[in-house]
Amino acid sequence: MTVVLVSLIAGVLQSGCSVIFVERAPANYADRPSFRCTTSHVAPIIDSVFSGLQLLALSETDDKSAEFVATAATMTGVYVASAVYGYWRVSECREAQASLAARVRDEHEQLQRYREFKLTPPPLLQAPPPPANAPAEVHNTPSGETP
Amino acid sequence: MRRSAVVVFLVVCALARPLSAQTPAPPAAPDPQAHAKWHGLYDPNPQVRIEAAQRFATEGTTSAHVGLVELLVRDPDENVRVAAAIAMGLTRNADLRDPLQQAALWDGSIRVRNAAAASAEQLKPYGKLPRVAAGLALIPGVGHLYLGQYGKAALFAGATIGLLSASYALSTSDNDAHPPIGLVLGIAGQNALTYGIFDAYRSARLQRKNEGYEYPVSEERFGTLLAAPFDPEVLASPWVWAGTPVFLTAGLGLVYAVSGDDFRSDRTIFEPGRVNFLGSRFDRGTGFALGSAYFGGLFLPVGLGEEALFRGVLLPALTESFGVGWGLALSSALFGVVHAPNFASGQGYQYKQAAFAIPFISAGGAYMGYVAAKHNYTLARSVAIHFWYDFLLSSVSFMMDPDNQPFTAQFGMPF
Repeated sequence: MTVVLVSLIAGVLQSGCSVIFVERAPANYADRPSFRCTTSHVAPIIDSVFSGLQLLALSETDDKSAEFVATAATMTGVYVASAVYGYWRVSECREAQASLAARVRDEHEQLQRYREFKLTPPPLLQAPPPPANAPAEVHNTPSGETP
Repeated sequence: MRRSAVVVFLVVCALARPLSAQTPAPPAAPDPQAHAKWHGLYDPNPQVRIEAAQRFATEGTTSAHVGLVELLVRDPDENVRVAAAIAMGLTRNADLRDPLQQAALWDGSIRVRNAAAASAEQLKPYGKLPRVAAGLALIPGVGHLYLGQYGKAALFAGATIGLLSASYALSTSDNDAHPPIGLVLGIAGQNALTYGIFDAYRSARLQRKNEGYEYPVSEERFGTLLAAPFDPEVLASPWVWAGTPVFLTAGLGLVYAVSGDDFRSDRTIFEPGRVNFLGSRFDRGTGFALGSAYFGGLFLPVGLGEEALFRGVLLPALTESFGVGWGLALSSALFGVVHAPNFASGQGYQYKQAAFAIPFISAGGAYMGYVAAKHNYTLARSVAIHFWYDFLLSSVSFMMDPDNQPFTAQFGMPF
């Protein structure tokens, strides 16, 4: 039992950790004002490193029994699959975060326009310009003389 | 006098003309939906703006949250800013912590600073990822430190390191009675670690009120889970009282079929002779009672710790990632695979036993996972099944071979 649990912890620490520890973006992220997901590549990189080491061990070992090769190949497959999954989910998360950031920026810009529109006092009222064919206006001076 | 006034007026008009020519154009019309989205945000009446803040908190949209930041940062009225800070705390949006922390530091009003600080604290859990908490908890206590639970961090780190250290000291002792006790403490220490991983994961999820998760996570307390194998309500469930004997019979049958030698020993407990327990000789009844107590102490943490990890963390986490069926299949397969080292022995690796046992253990994991998922991802039933399976299997092996104890932990296929 001791061996089982030590192996479990070592196994989780060194391999397949993307499947377990990478948090994907929520499915409805486009509708959410905020979310958190894994943007770090640490987990898939660890998976990649250990799949490489597993392959190296497989190529250099003297034990070429069918059981050993099958076990090692299966484990390598698991590590690679986990790494691929990790890269995929992290990339998806980064895209989702970028999309959220763009959405927030867009909302800020819209709000800025709305603020200017609402808070800028209207310009002083001026008489509309006269139509082109309108007769010239005659302003009377207080004394009754035409200029 | 009157003439000079006219001159001054004309001069002012002459100066004003070029100025008026430079007046900026009126602002561009905003998005047609802006008024609907931010209704009340710039209303001259502060009460209307407070109501807008309260409305924004419940809307759960990006524009509403942007509106709240606007109120907190720009509103001239202290009461409105307080309302905005309080409303932001209700949004579950961890991205709003930055403006809240700024307001908590720099706002001119103490009321606003206090409200902003409280709301920033309220939003803190929503910035924590449960899987990161679980991953960090592989180092005892660190997952809880990440969550800001310093007491629990000390407790899990102390318990895990203390138990494992005591186990190491006893296991390397010259006294023959000590290593079996060291084994119990070592198992307890390792399961304190796995329980810590579970506790960090579920704490992170519960702190954020399961925000963003489709499936629930166990909220059962440690004491409830520890007592689950003896809880009449749990034992009354057919999944437990019927499922455990079925798996036990299958497990014993498989052990007999694959490695029948394990059932052939010099004597059974029913034949003459005394029972050796930790180096002392006891009569059959007392020896069996002591051996059973030993197995109880050994397998109670195993049932609790392994269920916490596999059905409390991996099952819900993988279900969220891959769906119910795949989550169950993957967590069960992992449960089987991590038991693979059980079949390493002094004579080399027992491939034949492992080839039969690992699928069987995975099937056991799938059953317990199904039972947990069917009961809203609670763990009490699966902890009970796990404990009683291990305990009874080891008790049978004890009866069959009382002279080779306490190594019964290696016997058969306890999971």
